[in-house]
Amino acid sequence: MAGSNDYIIKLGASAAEAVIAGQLDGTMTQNGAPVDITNKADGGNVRYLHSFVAGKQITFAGTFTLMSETVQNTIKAAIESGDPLAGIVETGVGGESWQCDTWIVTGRSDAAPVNGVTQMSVTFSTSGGYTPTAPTV
Amino acid sequence: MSFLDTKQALLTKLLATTITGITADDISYENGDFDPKGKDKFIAAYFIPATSDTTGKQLGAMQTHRGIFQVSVFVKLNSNAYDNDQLQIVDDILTGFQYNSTAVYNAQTTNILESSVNSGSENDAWFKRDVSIDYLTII
Repeated sequence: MAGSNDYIIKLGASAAEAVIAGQLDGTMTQNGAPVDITNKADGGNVRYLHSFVAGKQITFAGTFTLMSETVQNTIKAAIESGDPLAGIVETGVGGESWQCDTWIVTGRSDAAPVNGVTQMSVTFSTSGGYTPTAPTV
Repeated sequence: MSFLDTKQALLTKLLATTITGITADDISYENGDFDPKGKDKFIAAYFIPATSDTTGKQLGAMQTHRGIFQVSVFVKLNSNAYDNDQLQIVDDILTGFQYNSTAVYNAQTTNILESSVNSGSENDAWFKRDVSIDYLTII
């Protein structure tokens, strides 16, 4: 079993991603919903379109210690411009990951508590296709 | 990140603080012999680390340390001046350790946060009051 500290998002071109300094908590969410194609012939049961997922998307909401660091500054610039970033979410469990060349970064929120360390929360969302890597035992 | 540097920074700041009636010889340090015989007041410094936290998941992530730097102020029991001398010393210490001031040692900065003072109490032949200074070190 891997520790949660191995569950991270890294940014950069595929296979050359860099760890983002200051990552703290992160939450990955896999979006997607089945398409309902129920008709009269189903006799009142629900029927979904098989082998199809609508609204497929990976989002990663992360909290970072705010610092002036190359990759973090790339994130801040991408939020401002809306430009996509290449990156990968790695679970650290069985090699499972989701790579995308076009993550969109939104929802920056900085928390600056008294007597504390400033933290930045942002959300990364895939735009277009992404490449999942299934976990192996 | 160094506990030693944090302690040294705080002690250096204490020594640099002008405290009424207290000289460098009137300060008791942890794990050091101190004889208060013949003195009518002295202070004792205690370094009390509390929590450690990290700034990130990556290798080599920085750390934050929080804790308390406690300075106990001792004056002779049943003094004619009541606890006036003691409170003057407390005031002087708090002037030296103002909120948001810093102490630097070996290029490591320690931030001074809030300070608090407790009620006085008898302690053997002394009347004692503790000044608790919260600190935060980020490296």
